[in-house]
Amino acid sequence: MTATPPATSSSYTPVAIEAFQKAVELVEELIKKIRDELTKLINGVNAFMQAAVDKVNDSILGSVVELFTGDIEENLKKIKSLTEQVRDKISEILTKAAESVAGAVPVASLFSRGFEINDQVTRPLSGMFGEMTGSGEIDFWRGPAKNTYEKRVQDQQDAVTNATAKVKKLVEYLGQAGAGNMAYMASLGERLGEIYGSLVTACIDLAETASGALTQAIALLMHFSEVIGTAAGQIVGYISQLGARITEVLDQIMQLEAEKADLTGLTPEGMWPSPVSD
Amino acid sequence: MAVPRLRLMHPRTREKAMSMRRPAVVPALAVALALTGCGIESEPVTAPPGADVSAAPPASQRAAGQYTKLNGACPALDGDTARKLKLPATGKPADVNADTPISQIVTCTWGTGVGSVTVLLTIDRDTSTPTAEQFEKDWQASVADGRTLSPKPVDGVGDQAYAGIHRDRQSVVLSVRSSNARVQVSYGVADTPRASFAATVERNTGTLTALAQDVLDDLG
Repeated sequence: MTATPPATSSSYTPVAIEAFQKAVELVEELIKKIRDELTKLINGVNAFMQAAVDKVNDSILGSVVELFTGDIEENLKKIKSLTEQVRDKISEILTKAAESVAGAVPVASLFSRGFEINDQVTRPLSGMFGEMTGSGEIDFWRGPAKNTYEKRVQDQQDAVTNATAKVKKLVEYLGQAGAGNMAYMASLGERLGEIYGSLVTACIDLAETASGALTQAIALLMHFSEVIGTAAGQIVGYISQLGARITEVLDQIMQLEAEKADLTGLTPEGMWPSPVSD
Repeated sequence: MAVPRLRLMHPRTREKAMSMRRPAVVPALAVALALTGCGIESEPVTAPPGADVSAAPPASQRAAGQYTKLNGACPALDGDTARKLKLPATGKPADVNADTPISQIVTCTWGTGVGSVTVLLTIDRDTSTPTAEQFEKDWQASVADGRTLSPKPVDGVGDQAYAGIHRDRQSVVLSVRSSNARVQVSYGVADTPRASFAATVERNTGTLTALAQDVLDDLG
Protein backbone atom coordinates (compact mmCIF):
# COMPACT_ATOMS: atom_id res chain seq x y z
CA MET A 1 0.00 0.00 0.00
CA THR A 2 1.35 3.46 -0.88
CA ALA A 3 1.42 6.31 1.62
CA THR A 4 -1.60 8.60 1.44
CA PRO A 5 -0.64 12.27 1.13
CA PRO A 6 -1.99 14.34 3.98
CA ALA A 7 -5.25 16.04 3.19
CA THR A 8 -5.17 19.81 3.23
CA SER A 9 -8.07 21.40 5.03
CA SER A 10 -10.42 23.17 2.66
CA SER A 11 -10.55 26.02 5.19
CA TYR A 12 -7.24 27.34 4.05
CA THR A 13 -5.27 27.49 0.88
CA PRO A 14 -1.57 27.71 0.07
CA VAL A 15 -1.94 31.50 -0.04
CA ALA A 16 -3.83 31.72 3.28
CA ILE A 17 -0.89 33.02 5.29
CA GLU A 18 -0.10 35.66 2.70
CA ALA A 19 -3.76 36.74 2.45
CA PHE A 20 -3.97 37.04 6.21
CA GLN A 21 -0.75 39.05 6.40
CA LYS A 22 -2.02 41.40 3.73
CA ALA A 23 -5.25 41.95 5.66
CA VAL A 24 -3.24 42.74 8.80
CA GLU A 25 -0.94 45.10 6.87
CA LEU A 26 -4.01 46.81 5.42
CA VAL A 27 -5.48 47.41 8.89
CA GLU A 28 -2.10 48.66 10.18
CA GLU A 29 -1.77 51.07 7.29
CA LEU A 30 -5.33 52.31 7.71
CA ILE A 31 -4.77 52.95 11.42
CA LYS A 32 -1.80 55.14 10.54
CA LYS A 33 -3.58 56.92 7.70
CA ILE A 34 -6.74 57.55 9.69
CA ARG A 35 -4.66 59.01 12.52
CA ASP A 36 -2.82 61.28 10.04
CA GLU A 37 -6.06 62.34 8.40
CA LEU A 38 -7.74 62.99 11.76
CA THR A 39 -4.82 65.21 12.75
CA LYS A 40 -5.17 66.97 9.43
CA LEU A 41 -8.87 67.53 10.06
CA ILE A 42 -8.23 68.86 13.56
CA ASN A 43 -5.50 71.17 12.28
CA GLY A 44 -7.90 72.29 9.56
CA VAL A 45 -10.71 72.97 12.04
CA ASN A 46 -8.36 74.92 14.32
CA ALA A 47 -7.07 76.98 11.39
CA PHE A 48 -10.64 77.52 10.23
CA MET A 49 -11.78 78.75 13.65
CA GLN A 50 -8.74 80.99 14.03
CA ALA A 51 -9.29 82.49 10.60
CA ALA A 52 -12.92 83.17 11.44
CA VAL A 53 -11.93 84.81 14.72
CA ASP A 54 -9.22 86.88 13.07
CA LYS A 55 -11.61 88.01 10.42
CA VAL A 56 -14.20 89.11 12.93
CA ASN A 57 -11.68 90.73 15.25
CA ASP A 58 -10.04 92.53 12.37
CA SER A 59 -13.28 94.22 11.59
CA ILE A 60 -15.23 95.90 14.31
CA LEU A 61 -18.15 96.13 11.97
CA GLY A 62 -17.82 92.40 11.27
CA SER A 63 -18.25 91.79 14.98
CA VAL A 64 -21.32 93.87 14.93
CA VAL A 65 -22.75 91.92 12.05
CA GLU A 66 -22.09 88.67 13.96
CA LEU A 67 -23.87 90.10 16.96
CA PHE A 68 -26.90 90.57 14.78
CA THR A 69 -26.67 87.34 12.80
CA GLY A 70 -25.74 84.86 15.51
CA ASP A 71 -23.53 84.20 18.42
CA ILE A 72 -20.09 83.59 16.99
CA GLU A 73 -18.64 82.29 20.22
CA GLU A 74 -21.50 79.84 20.55
CA ASN A 75 -20.81 78.63 17.01
CA LEU A 76 -17.11 78.24 17.70
CA LYS A 77 -17.90 76.19 20.80
CA LYS A 78 -20.21 74.02 18.77
CA ILE A 79 -17.50 73.41 16.15
CA LYS A 80 -14.98 72.56 18.85
CA SER A 81 -17.39 70.21 20.59
CA LEU A 82 -18.28 68.41 17.34
CA THR A 83 -14.63 68.03 16.40
CA GLU A 84 -13.82 66.63 19.84
CA GLN A 85 -16.65 64.13 19.50
CA VAL A 86 -15.28 62.99 16.15
CA ARG A 87 -11.75 62.83 17.57
CA ASP A 88 -12.83 60.70 20.53
CA LYS A 89 -14.93 58.32 18.44
CA ILE A 90 -12.13 57.79 15.93
CA SER A 91 -9.57 57.39 18.72
CA GLU A 92 -11.72 54.64 20.21
CA ILE A 93 -11.92 52.90 16.85
CA LEU A 94 -8.17 53.12 16.36
CA THR A 95 -7.49 51.71 19.82
CA LYS A 96 -9.76 48.74 19.13
CA ALA A 97 -8.26 48.17 15.68
CA ALA A 98 -4.73 48.26 17.12
CA GLU A 99 -5.77 45.64 19.69
CA SER A 100 -7.01 43.44 16.84
CA VAL A 101 -3.67 43.74 15.04
CA ALA A 102 -1.83 42.89 18.26
CA GLY A 103 -3.96 39.76 18.55
CA ALA A 104 -3.28 38.76 14.96
CA VAL A 105 0.13 37.19 15.59
CA PRO A 106 -1.21 34.01 17.22
CA VAL A 107 -3.76 33.73 14.42
CA ALA A 108 -1.01 33.71 11.80
CA SER A 109 0.74 31.01 13.78
CA LEU A 110 -2.42 28.86 13.61
CA PHE A 111 -1.98 28.56 9.86
CA SER A 112 1.72 28.04 10.20
CA ARG A 113 1.23 25.33 12.81
CA GLY A 114 -1.30 23.59 10.56
CA PHE A 115 1.19 23.37 7.72
CA GLU A 116 3.94 22.22 10.05
CA ILE A 117 1.79 19.46 11.52
CA ASN A 118 0.84 18.31 8.05
CA ASP A 119 4.44 18.18 6.97
CA GLN A 120 6.10 16.89 10.11
CA VAL A 121 3.41 14.63 11.61
CA THR A 122 0.66 13.65 9.18
CA ARG A 123 2.97 12.90 6.29
CA PRO A 124 5.32 10.43 8.11
CA LEU A 125 2.42 9.06 10.15
CA SER A 126 0.32 8.22 7.13
CA GLY A 127 3.43 6.85 5.44
CA MET A 128 3.89 4.35 8.29
CA PHE A 129 0.80 2.46 7.20
CA GLY A 130 2.49 1.18 4.05
CA GLU A 131 5.61 0.18 5.97
CA MET A 132 3.64 -2.07 8.33
CA THR A 133 2.88 -4.85 5.91
CA GLY A 134 4.46 -8.23 6.56
CA SER A 135 7.84 -8.88 5.06
CA GLY A 136 10.10 -11.89 4.50
CA GLU A 137 8.84 -15.40 3.93
CA ILE A 138 5.54 -14.73 5.68
CA ASP A 139 3.49 -16.58 3.08
CA PHE A 140 5.03 -19.85 4.31
CA TRP A 141 3.92 -19.22 7.88
CA ARG A 142 1.08 -21.28 9.17
CA GLY A 143 -0.75 -21.61 12.47
CA PRO A 144 -1.36 -19.41 15.55
CA ALA A 145 1.92 -17.47 15.29
CA LYS A 146 1.02 -16.22 11.85
CA ASN A 147 -2.54 -15.39 12.93
CA THR A 148 -1.26 -13.43 15.92
CA TYR A 149 1.31 -11.59 13.78
CA GLU A 150 -1.27 -10.62 11.19
CA LYS A 151 -3.67 -9.44 13.84
CA ARG A 152 -1.02 -7.26 15.46
CA VAL A 153 -0.06 -5.79 12.09
CA GLN A 154 -3.70 -4.99 11.46
CA ASP A 155 -4.01 -3.45 14.95
CA GLN A 156 -1.02 -1.23 14.29
CA GLN A 157 -2.30 -0.21 10.88
CA ASP A 158 -5.66 0.66 12.40
CA ALA A 159 -3.90 2.68 15.06
CA VAL A 160 -2.00 4.62 12.42
CA THR A 161 -5.20 5.28 10.49
CA ASN A 162 -6.87 6.45 13.67
CA ALA A 163 -3.97 8.66 14.73
CA THR A 164 -3.73 10.13 11.24
CA ALA A 165 -7.42 10.99 11.32
CA LYS A 166 -6.96 12.72 14.66
CA VAL A 167 -4.04 14.80 13.44
CA LYS A 168 -5.92 15.70 10.26
CA LYS A 169 -8.80 16.88 12.38
CA LEU A 170 -6.40 18.97 14.41
CA VAL A 171 -5.05 20.59 11.26
CA GLU A 172 -8.58 21.24 10.07
CA TYR A 173 -9.45 22.98 13.34
CA LEU A 174 -6.39 25.16 13.07
CA GLY A 175 -7.26 26.05 9.49
CA GLN A 176 -10.87 26.91 10.32
CA ALA A 177 -9.88 29.03 13.29
CA GLY A 178 -7.28 30.85 11.19
CA ALA A 179 -9.67 31.38 8.26
CA GLY A 180 -12.38 32.80 10.55
CA ASN A 181 -9.98 35.33 11.95
CA MET A 182 -8.69 36.17 8.51
CA ALA A 183 -12.22 37.03 7.37
CA TYR A 184 -12.63 39.16 10.46
CA MET A 185 -9.41 41.08 9.77
CA ALA A 186 -10.34 41.73 6.12
CA SER A 187 -13.80 43.02 7.12
CA LEU A 188 -12.22 45.28 9.71
CA GLY A 189 -9.98 46.64 6.95
CA GLU A 190 -13.03 47.37 4.78
CA ARG A 191 -14.76 49.26 7.57
CA LEU A 192 -11.67 51.26 8.44
CA GLY A 193 -11.37 52.06 4.74
CA GLU A 194 -14.85 53.61 4.84
CA ILE A 195 -13.88 55.80 7.79
CA TYR A 196 -10.69 56.85 6.06
CA GLY A 197 -12.69 57.79 2.94
CA SER A 198 -15.13 59.86 5.05
CA LEU A 199 -12.25 61.66 6.76
CA VAL A 200 -10.60 62.55 3.48
CA THR A 201 -13.92 63.92 2.19
CA ALA A 202 -14.47 65.92 5.37
CA CYS A 203 -10.98 67.48 5.09
CA ILE A 204 -11.67 68.47 1.49
CA ASP A 205 -15.10 69.90 2.35
CA LEU A 206 -13.64 71.89 5.22
CA ALA A 207 -10.87 73.26 3.02
CA GLU A 208 -13.52 74.40 0.56
CA THR A 209 -15.60 76.09 3.22
CA ALA A 210 -15.27 79.87 3.34
CA SER A 211 -13.34 80.97 6.41
CA GLY A 212 -16.24 82.90 7.89
CA ALA A 213 -18.96 80.37 7.16
CA LEU A 214 -19.37 79.04 10.66
CA THR A 215 -22.84 77.64 10.19
CA GLN A 216 -21.67 75.79 7.09
CA ALA A 217 -18.75 74.30 9.05
CA ILE A 218 -21.13 73.24 11.79
CA ALA A 219 -23.44 71.52 9.30
CA LEU A 220 -20.44 69.78 7.77
CA LEU A 221 -19.08 68.60 11.11
CA MET A 222 -22.52 67.52 12.36
CA HIS A 223 -22.98 65.38 9.29
CA PHE A 224 -19.47 63.98 9.62
CA SER A 225 -19.94 63.30 13.33
CA GLU A 226 -23.08 61.29 12.50
CA VAL A 227 -21.23 59.27 9.87
CA ILE A 228 -18.34 58.57 12.23
CA GLY A 229 -20.72 57.86 15.09
CA THR A 230 -22.51 55.20 13.04
CA ALA A 231 -19.22 53.72 11.85
CA ALA A 232 -17.82 53.76 15.38
CA GLY A 233 -20.87 51.91 16.65
CA GLN A 234 -20.51 49.31 13.93
CA ILE A 235 -16.78 48.86 14.42
CA VAL A 236 -16.88 48.70 18.18
CA GLY A 237 -19.71 46.16 17.90
CA TYR A 238 -17.78 44.29 15.28
CA ILE A 239 -14.59 44.33 17.31
CA SER A 240 -16.48 43.00 20.29
CA GLN A 241 -17.14 39.98 18.09
CA LEU A 242 -13.41 39.42 18.23
CA GLY A 243 -13.85 38.45 21.85
CA ALA A 244 -16.47 35.90 20.80
CA ARG A 245 -14.16 34.76 18.04
CA ILE A 246 -11.27 34.24 20.42
CA THR A 247 -13.55 32.27 22.73
CA GLU A 248 -14.52 30.13 19.76
CA VAL A 249 -10.88 29.51 18.91
CA LEU A 250 -10.16 28.60 22.52
CA ASP A 251 -13.08 26.19 22.44
CA GLN A 252 -11.66 24.61 19.33
CA ILE A 253 -8.29 24.28 20.97
CA MET A 254 -9.96 22.64 23.96
CA GLN A 255 -11.63 20.23 21.57
CA LEU A 256 -8.23 19.52 20.10
CA GLU A 257 -6.87 18.72 23.50
CA ALA A 258 -9.80 16.37 24.06
CA GLU A 259 -9.13 14.82 20.68
CA LYS A 260 -5.47 14.32 21.51
CA ALA A 261 -6.32 12.74 24.83
CA ASP A 262 -8.88 10.46 23.27
CA LEU A 263 -6.98 7.24 22.61
CA THR A 264 -10.00 5.31 21.43
CA GLY A 265 -9.09 3.18 18.46
CA LEU A 266 -5.57 2.44 19.60
CA THR A 267 -6.10 -0.48 22.00
CA PRO A 268 -8.81 -1.13 24.62
CA GLU A 269 -6.36 0.29 27.17
CA GLY A 270 -5.69 3.31 25.02
CA MET A 271 -2.14 2.16 24.32
CA TRP A 272 -0.30 1.76 21.07
CA PRO A 273 -0.69 -1.90 19.96
CA SER A 274 2.28 -4.00 21.04
CA PRO A 275 4.45 -5.73 18.47
CA VAL A 276 4.46 -9.53 18.35
CA SER A 277 7.67 -9.86 20.32
CA ASP A 278 6.13 -8.34 23.49
CA MET B 1 -20.65 65.33 1.41
CA ALA B 2 -23.68 67.49 0.61
CA VAL B 3 -24.09 70.22 3.17
CA PRO B 4 -25.97 73.45 2.96
CA ARG B 5 -23.66 76.26 1.92
CA LEU B 6 -24.19 79.49 3.81
CA ARG B 7 -21.49 81.97 3.05
CA LEU B 8 -21.00 85.11 5.05
CA MET B 9 -20.29 88.26 3.19
CA HIS B 10 -16.80 89.62 3.01
CA PRO B 11 -16.28 92.06 5.91
CA ARG B 12 -15.77 95.00 3.59
CA THR B 13 -18.94 94.17 1.72
CA ARG B 14 -20.77 93.71 4.97
CA GLU B 15 -19.34 96.95 6.26
CA LYS B 16 -20.56 98.74 3.19
CA ALA B 17 -23.94 97.09 3.34
CA MET B 18 -24.35 97.80 7.02
CA SER B 19 -23.30 101.40 6.66
CA MET B 20 -25.98 101.79 4.05
CA ARG B 21 -28.67 100.07 6.09
CA ARG B 22 -27.91 101.12 9.66
CA PRO B 23 -26.15 104.46 9.53
CA ALA B 24 -27.14 105.42 13.06
CA VAL B 25 -26.86 102.18 15.10
CA VAL B 26 -23.60 100.65 13.85
CA PRO B 27 -21.20 103.47 14.68
CA ALA B 28 -22.52 103.56 18.21
CA LEU B 29 -21.99 99.80 18.75
CA ALA B 30 -18.61 99.91 17.08
CA VAL B 31 -17.48 102.61 19.38
CA ALA B 32 -18.76 100.61 22.36
CA LEU B 33 -16.83 97.47 21.30
CA ALA B 34 -13.71 99.44 20.57
CA LEU B 35 -13.86 101.08 23.96
CA THR B 36 -14.34 97.86 25.89
CA GLY B 37 -11.56 96.20 23.82
CA CYS B 38 -13.42 92.91 23.72
CA GLY B 39 -12.32 90.39 21.04
CA ILE B 40 -13.39 86.86 20.21
CA GLU B 41 -11.03 83.99 20.96
CA SER B 42 -10.91 80.47 19.61
CA GLU B 43 -9.83 77.57 21.78
CA PRO B 44 -8.12 74.96 19.57
CA VAL B 45 -9.05 71.29 19.55
CA THR B 46 -6.21 69.11 20.85
CA ALA B 47 -4.81 66.34 18.67
CA PRO B 48 -5.61 62.69 19.51
CA PRO B 49 -3.02 60.78 21.56
CA GLY B 50 -0.19 59.33 19.50
CA ALA B 51 -0.83 61.66 16.57
CA ASP B 52 2.01 62.94 14.46
CA VAL B 53 1.24 66.63 14.15
CA SER B 54 3.20 66.87 10.92
CA ALA B 55 1.18 66.76 7.73
CA ALA B 56 0.37 63.52 5.90
CA PRO B 57 3.02 62.42 3.37
CA PRO B 58 2.77 64.21 0.04
CA ALA B 59 1.17 62.37 -2.84
CA SER B 60 4.52 61.87 -4.60
CA GLN B 61 5.67 59.47 -1.85
CA ARG B 62 2.61 57.29 -2.16
CA ALA B 63 2.35 54.14 -4.20
CA ALA B 64 0.90 54.77 -7.62
CA GLY B 65 0.61 52.65 -10.69
CA GLN B 66 -1.36 51.76 -13.74
CA TYR B 67 -4.00 49.60 -12.03
CA THR B 68 -6.94 50.75 -9.93
CA LYS B 69 -9.19 47.71 -9.64
CA LEU B 70 -10.02 44.15 -10.61
CA ASN B 71 -12.85 43.86 -13.11
CA GLY B 72 -15.33 41.48 -11.48
CA ALA B 73 -15.36 39.54 -8.22
CA CYS B 74 -12.70 37.11 -9.45
CA PRO B 75 -10.36 37.26 -12.42
CA ALA B 76 -11.46 35.31 -15.49
CA LEU B 77 -8.95 32.54 -16.21
CA ASP B 78 -9.85 32.30 -19.86
CA GLY B 79 -6.58 31.96 -21.77
CA ASP B 80 -5.61 28.88 -23.80
CA THR B 81 -3.70 27.36 -20.90
CA ALA B 82 -6.59 27.83 -18.48
CA ARG B 83 -9.00 26.25 -20.96
CA LYS B 84 -6.74 23.20 -21.30
CA LEU B 85 -6.74 22.81 -17.52
CA LYS B 86 -10.56 22.54 -17.61
CA LEU B 87 -10.95 24.74 -14.57
CA PRO B 88 -14.43 25.69 -13.29
CA ALA B 89 -15.79 28.55 -15.37
CA THR B 90 -15.78 31.01 -12.49
CA GLY B 91 -13.61 31.35 -9.43
CA LYS B 92 -14.95 31.23 -5.93
CA PRO B 93 -14.16 34.45 -4.04
CA ALA B 94 -12.99 34.02 -0.46
CA ASP B 95 -14.74 35.81 2.38
CA VAL B 96 -11.51 37.58 3.21
CA ASN B 97 -11.57 40.06 0.36
CA ALA B 98 -11.28 43.79 1.05
CA ASP B 99 -11.75 46.80 -1.19
CA THR B 100 -10.51 50.04 0.40
CA PRO B 101 -9.00 53.38 -0.68
CA ILE B 102 -5.60 51.98 0.38
CA SER B 103 -5.64 48.70 -1.49
CA GLN B 104 -7.81 45.95 -2.91
CA ILE B 105 -7.21 42.36 -1.78
CA VAL B 106 -8.86 39.47 -3.64
CA THR B 107 -8.51 35.73 -3.11
CA CYS B 108 -10.29 33.29 -5.44
CA THR B 109 -10.12 29.53 -5.91
CA TRP B 110 -10.93 27.22 -8.80
CA GLY B 111 -11.46 23.58 -7.80
CA THR B 112 -9.70 21.59 -5.08
CA GLY B 113 -6.70 19.29 -4.88
CA VAL B 114 -4.53 18.42 -7.87
CA GLY B 115 -5.24 20.79 -10.77
CA SER B 116 -6.86 23.43 -8.57
CA VAL B 117 -5.87 27.09 -8.76
CA THR B 118 -5.81 29.78 -6.10
CA VAL B 119 -5.13 33.43 -6.88
CA LEU B 120 -4.27 36.14 -4.37
CA LEU B 121 -4.32 39.60 -5.91
CA THR B 122 -3.34 42.88 -4.26
CA ILE B 123 -3.68 46.25 -5.95
CA ASP B 124 -1.90 49.04 -4.08
CA ARG B 125 -3.80 52.30 -4.41
CA ASP B 126 -2.35 54.52 -1.74
CA THR B 127 0.10 52.51 0.35
CA SER B 128 3.10 53.99 2.14
CA THR B 129 5.52 51.31 0.94
CA PRO B 130 6.18 51.18 -2.82
CA THR B 131 4.77 48.02 -4.39
CA ALA B 132 8.14 46.83 -5.76
CA GLU B 133 9.73 47.11 -2.31
CA GLN B 134 6.86 45.29 -0.59
CA PHE B 135 6.84 42.56 -3.26
CA GLU B 136 10.55 41.84 -2.83
CA LYS B 137 10.23 41.90 0.96
CA ASP B 138 7.28 39.46 0.94
CA TRP B 139 9.00 37.05 -1.41
CA GLN B 140 12.26 37.01 0.54
CA ALA B 141 10.30 36.45 3.77
CA SER B 142 8.40 33.51 2.29
CA VAL B 143 11.70 31.88 1.29
CA ALA B 144 13.41 32.68 4.59
CA ASP B 145 10.64 31.21 6.77
CA GLY B 146 10.35 28.06 4.66
CA ARG B 147 6.93 28.73 3.12
CA THR B 148 8.44 28.60 -0.37
CA LEU B 149 10.95 25.95 -1.37
CA SER B 150 13.18 25.68 -4.43
CA PRO B 151 12.69 29.35 -5.42
CA LYS B 152 13.73 30.72 -8.79
CA PRO B 153 13.27 33.99 -10.71
CA VAL B 154 10.93 33.87 -13.70
CA ASP B 155 10.96 36.03 -16.85
CA GLY B 156 8.21 36.87 -19.28
CA VAL B 157 5.42 38.02 -17.01
CA GLY B 158 4.97 41.32 -15.18
CA ASP B 159 7.89 43.44 -13.99
CA GLN B 160 9.23 40.89 -11.48
CA ALA B 161 8.35 37.24 -10.87
CA TYR B 162 9.46 34.27 -8.79
CA ALA B 163 8.31 30.65 -8.66
CA GLY B 164 8.73 27.85 -6.12
CA ILE B 165 7.12 24.91 -4.33
CA HIS B 166 4.81 25.64 -1.43
CA ARG B 167 5.78 23.89 1.76
CA ASP B 168 2.64 21.72 1.59
CA ARG B 169 4.52 20.09 -1.36
CA GLN B 170 1.20 19.88 -3.17
CA SER B 171 1.25 23.21 -4.94
CA VAL B 172 3.60 25.26 -7.08
CA VAL B 173 3.43 29.01 -6.61
CA LEU B 174 4.26 32.00 -8.75
CA SER B 175 4.50 35.55 -7.39
CA VAL B 176 4.32 38.33 -9.95
CA ARG B 177 4.47 42.10 -9.66
CA SER B 178 3.22 44.30 -12.45
CA SER B 179 3.25 48.04 -11.72
CA ASN B 180 1.23 48.44 -8.49
CA ALA B 181 -0.36 44.96 -8.63
CA ARG B 182 0.91 41.80 -6.95
CA VAL B 183 -0.43 38.43 -8.07
CA GLN B 184 0.23 35.11 -6.38
CA VAL B 185 -0.92 32.03 -8.26
CA SER B 186 -0.93 28.58 -6.68
CA TYR B 187 -1.47 25.45 -8.78
CA GLY B 188 -2.26 22.08 -7.15
CA VAL B 189 0.09 19.22 -8.06
CA ALA B 190 0.58 15.63 -6.84
CA ASP B 191 2.50 15.25 -3.59
CA THR B 192 6.06 16.08 -4.57
CA PRO B 193 9.14 14.35 -3.17
CA ARG B 194 11.99 16.64 -2.18
CA ALA B 195 14.20 15.42 -5.04
CA SER B 196 11.61 16.56 -7.60
CA PHE B 197 11.01 20.10 -6.30
CA ALA B 198 13.09 21.92 -8.92
CA ALA B 199 11.78 19.79 -11.81
CA THR B 200 8.17 20.29 -10.68
CA VAL B 201 8.64 24.04 -10.52
CA GLU B 202 10.27 24.03 -13.95
CA ARG B 203 7.53 21.86 -15.47
CA ASN B 204 4.71 24.09 -14.20
CA THR B 205 6.22 27.54 -14.67
CA GLY B 206 4.59 27.97 -18.09
CA THR B 207 1.16 27.14 -16.71
CA LEU B 208 1.61 29.53 -13.80
CA THR B 209 2.79 32.44 -15.95
CA ALA B 210 -0.15 31.97 -18.34
CA LEU B 211 -2.62 32.01 -15.43
CA ALA B 212 -0.94 35.09 -13.92
CA GLN B 213 -1.19 36.84 -17.29
CA ASP B 214 -4.94 36.07 -17.37
CA VAL B 215 -5.24 37.79 -13.98
CA LEU B 216 -3.26 40.85 -15.12
CA ASP B 217 -5.43 41.09 -18.24
CA ASP B 218 -8.46 41.61 -16.01
CA LEU B 219 -7.12 44.61 -14.13
CA GLY B 220 -8.49 48.03 -14.93
